[in-house]
Amino acid sequence: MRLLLAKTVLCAVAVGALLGTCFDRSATAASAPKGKQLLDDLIAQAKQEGSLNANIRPGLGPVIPDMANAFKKRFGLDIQVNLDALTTENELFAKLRATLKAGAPPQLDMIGGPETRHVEMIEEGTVNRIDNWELLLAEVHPLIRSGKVKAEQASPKPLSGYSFLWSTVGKALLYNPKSLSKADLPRTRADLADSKYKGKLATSNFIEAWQMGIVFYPKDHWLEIADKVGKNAVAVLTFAASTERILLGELALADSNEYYYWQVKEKDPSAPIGLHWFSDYTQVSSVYNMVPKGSRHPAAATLFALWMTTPEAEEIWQRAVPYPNIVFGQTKVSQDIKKAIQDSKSPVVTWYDNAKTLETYKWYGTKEGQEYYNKLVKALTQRR
Amino acid sequence: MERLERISRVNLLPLSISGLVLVWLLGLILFVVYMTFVPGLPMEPGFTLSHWRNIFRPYVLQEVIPNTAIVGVGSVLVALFFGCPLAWILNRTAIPFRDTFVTLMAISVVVPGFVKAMGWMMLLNERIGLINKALAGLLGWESVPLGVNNLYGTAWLMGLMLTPTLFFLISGPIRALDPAFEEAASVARANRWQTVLRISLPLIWPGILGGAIYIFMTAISIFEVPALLGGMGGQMPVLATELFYEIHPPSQTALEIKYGAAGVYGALMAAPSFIGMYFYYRGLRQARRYEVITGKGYRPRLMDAGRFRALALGFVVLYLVLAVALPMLVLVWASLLPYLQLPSPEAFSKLSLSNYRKFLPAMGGAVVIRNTALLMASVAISVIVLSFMVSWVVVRTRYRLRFAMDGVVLLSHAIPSLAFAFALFVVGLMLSRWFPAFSLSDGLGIIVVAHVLHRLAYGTRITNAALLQVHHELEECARVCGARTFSTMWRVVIPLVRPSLVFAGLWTALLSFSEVSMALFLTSTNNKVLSVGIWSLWATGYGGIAAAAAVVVVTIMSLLVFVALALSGGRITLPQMVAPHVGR
Repeated sequence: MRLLLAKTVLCAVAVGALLGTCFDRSATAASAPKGKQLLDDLIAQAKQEGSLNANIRPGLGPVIPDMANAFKKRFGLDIQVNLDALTTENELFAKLRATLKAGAPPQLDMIGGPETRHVEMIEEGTVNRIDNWELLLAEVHPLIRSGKVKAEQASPKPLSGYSFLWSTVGKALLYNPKSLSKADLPRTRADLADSKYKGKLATSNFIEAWQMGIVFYPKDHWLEIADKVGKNAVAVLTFAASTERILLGELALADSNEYYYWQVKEKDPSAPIGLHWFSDYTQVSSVYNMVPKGSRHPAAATLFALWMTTPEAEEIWQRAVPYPNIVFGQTKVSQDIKKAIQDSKSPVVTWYDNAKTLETYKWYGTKEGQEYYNKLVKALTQRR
Repeated sequence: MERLERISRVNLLPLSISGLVLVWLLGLILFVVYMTFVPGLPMEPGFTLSHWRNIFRPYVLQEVIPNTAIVGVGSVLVALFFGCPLAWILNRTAIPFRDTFVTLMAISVVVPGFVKAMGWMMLLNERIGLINKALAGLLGWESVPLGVNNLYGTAWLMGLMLTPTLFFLISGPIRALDPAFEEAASVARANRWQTVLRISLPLIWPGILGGAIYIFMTAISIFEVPALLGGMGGQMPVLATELFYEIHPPSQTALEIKYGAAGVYGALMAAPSFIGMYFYYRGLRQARRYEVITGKGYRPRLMDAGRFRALALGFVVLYLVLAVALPMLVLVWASLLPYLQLPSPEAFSKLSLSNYRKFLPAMGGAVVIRNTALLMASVAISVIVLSFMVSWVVVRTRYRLRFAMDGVVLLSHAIPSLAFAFALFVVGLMLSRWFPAFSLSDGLGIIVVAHVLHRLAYGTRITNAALLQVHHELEECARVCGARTFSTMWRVVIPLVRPSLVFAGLWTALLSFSEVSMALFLTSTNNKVLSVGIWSLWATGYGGIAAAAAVVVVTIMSLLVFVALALSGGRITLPQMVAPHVGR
């Protein structure tokens, strides 16, 4: 009797599992045609639009033709694709916001930039939300379709459906090994305040990594450190300019974006430049693409934003500049950079990691936060 | 009333064109001023004095403004030191290779300012300077504490950069000097130096004064050189870098862009110009004293430099080495390397031409070259025509508002180009909102308009000075013979001031090519130009490719300058003066 009961239960479980699989398959099968249908509709609309104006990051000029052709080929499009790789993201977003506030259509159909700019615009209601974005992304991105990468990694909250990740930027220290040995390097970001670095380093106006510091250090203490670092600095330069000065030997070190190191090494493996990760934290920011409201060619723009998340696009742009995507890690360059960060054992932190980082990010948008930000900038740049 | 009607009819053409220019300029200037009282974007409501209050803090009053004054005055002194003698030597003496020297002066403008700054930093820097190392070796010191990374170095470099601007501003009046004055001085037993200092110089001083004012206004508005040499921080702040910082906040978290601050800094930059303009207009009121081109025939005479010939030649060569040869060497050097590095055996082993294969696609292809050529031609022609018309009203009429008109035109240069660019951008937005089919902000047109309006200050300095030297009796003769205003302009006056117009057009075209700030702000997918491409490549770590682009462009531009000079008569001498053929 007991054996019969056990067999019955086992059979029931087996049948149930079988039925469940069939049900899942049919559910997946139902969503697959739907996703494909959505993509086909989008492609048809893009063909009618006939054109696309979008920006990509500066430095990608050499591969614009390749990117445009690959994009068109992927979706069978025969449209005019204009990509701007000359204008910086801050200027583009400033102009975009002015354009939208004036009630005029945006010049760019798709715009890319740091996540914080996207959050601002989403809150202002000036970004198109892509309906059924998960299905579309699964159709476009092979790794998402296979489940190796999750859709929400490409478009996490609060950007879900609005903005799509295509690149990450890790903040690190670049140095000249002929001017500074590894033993003399600062262990933490706070160590840059040490007087032994006076006259040897440059700071930058881009202080996002320093803003993250208050997650790990008390605010007042962090300001004191920033002031000492500012006094140690011999100049305030852009990351590209400080990289150049390090290579020339004029500067010994500067905090920067990690890809400048790989960009130089790609041109000359023997170049006198080193990369160092701070042991207190490594801030990683993400670069997203979105379609602003009022875009003249929204379907083409949506397709391009989705395509830019793919390994195919990443392989092409990394021929010009090794902008990585360590979230997906879908190319060798990105995997190498991700491994380098992991091997350094430096804690990686983003604004959306946890409640504390998110709360800190939102705090910078308050009046008190903006006052603190102003003090931090003045301390690091010594502008009073 | 009848007299007013007759006067208006006579000057209807220049009046109407000048009026249009005035409306545009005044509108934009007032818009920039309006921005200084708005808390955020200009189309948002609100009123604030915070931008103005922000200026009155110790950092601005005790550091930024004094630093700016040092850079501005220093640049003018350096430009005058080189520019005046060069203008005299290359226009009034018979030294050899004059055309070549003039061409080299012109093409030096095409070399981007930040490249020159980098070049000088490699030469004169306490840590890495080649001259420092050579001197230290000679003197047996560890290092030589000389460098360009300070205010005086910035003034030196900007003075060198702006010398060609001054040169071309005063070349026209110098070439047009009637040798009869000098002959009369010679008869009165004045020696060469006395003639130059007491006769020739006073006759051309309005041009020199106008040029000095223009140089000062330009020097204090350039940001890329002080930003590169001093950095964008508090080590060496000047108004231009502070302005740039206000418009380009780099933070990734929420932070507004302070366009109002741009307008305030623009007002600060414009303020000292008013003082210079006061003296400039006093000179204009005594215009007849400076009329050197009369109805009597004359042929400008080239002076023999005599025993000073070698000195003169050496002075010209010295300037060209400092301002042209050295930056070009750095440019060529950088173009052959994967990244900028000091000369060394290791560096020499890395020389290659690979950057030359990459620059055109890196900047957006042939369309960028087409856009740039269109921009230069459009701006040059527009500036020549509009400047001539404005100067006609200012110099040739008795309207009470003519000085105000000239003041507004000159004021346009005092307003920072970035503030100008933004004002135009917003105007373009409003137009595209009201007239969706018309999109000013998306094409090359908006950059052309920005350049034309901003270059009018320079163009009118040249045409003012040129028209000042043409005696009014020539036009009176034409009118007596029944010629209308346009005919008088076209057949009598323009041929006489043609050299100045050619230089104005040529120089404007070159300046338009090398201008970065406005083009950078106004750039879109459809109006990319070379200057933006080169700057962007340099700013994103592709200095070698940017340098390759600059070398190619400088080479092509120098050929064009040679051709332009040849078309305008090669050595640009004035035609033999005869009675005007009017009425045929």
